[in-house]
Amino acid sequence: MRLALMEMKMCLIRLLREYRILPGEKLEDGFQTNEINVIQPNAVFVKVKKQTFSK
Amino acid sequence: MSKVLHNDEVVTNVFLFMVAGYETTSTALAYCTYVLAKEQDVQDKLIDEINQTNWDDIDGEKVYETAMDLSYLDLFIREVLRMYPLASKPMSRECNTTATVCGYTIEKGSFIRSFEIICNLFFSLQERLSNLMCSVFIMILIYGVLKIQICSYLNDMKLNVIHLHGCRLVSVREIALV
Repeated sequence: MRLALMEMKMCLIRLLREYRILPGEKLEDGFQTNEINVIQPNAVFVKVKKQTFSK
Repeated sequence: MSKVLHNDEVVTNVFLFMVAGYETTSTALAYCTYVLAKEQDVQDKLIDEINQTNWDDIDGEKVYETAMDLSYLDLFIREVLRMYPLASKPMSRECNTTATVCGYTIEKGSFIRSFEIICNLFFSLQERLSNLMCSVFIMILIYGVLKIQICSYLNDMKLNVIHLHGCRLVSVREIALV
């Protein structure tokens, strides 16, 4: 759990430092959850936009 | 018992690490992405918090410590996990003695499990926490006292919701419309 949390945080930080996530047109269509091993969505359609911060 | 790890034990443990560590984390990140796309104001706050740190100036292992200290990010991930629980199969329990709960018979061999996504719609945080930590049978006792509904898979694998005090059985479809 601790390692997984850290992995997720590092990943999100890395991503959000450079990109902004915007909803894709089919965001809700793809977001049908089903359970195989874990309860997972079929697809998450997003757009990403490169961002630069003046810092 | 030998004190040395047997080959089989090593293999099975490595397998468990793989299964438990791979899909769960990536799926949780998928849910995070979904929530971020939907909730732009949350994303703004997250980006703000992340950009308050000058990551390029932090070296090596300090990065991990700094990352773990970001409180909004921590809350965000926990909230996403609450809204979209990854697993409920591992928390299911098999009934080993036929029992009657509020007039409803749970037969031996039934698989009982909470359906977290629906539970989340009804339960307060406190109750959800106990939901995660207690075995389902303990849950039945607690929730029975608290007059809260629980959902369960019965052995005919029909997903039903037991209103513990009303003893009413409704389908999930009905609940989803509420």
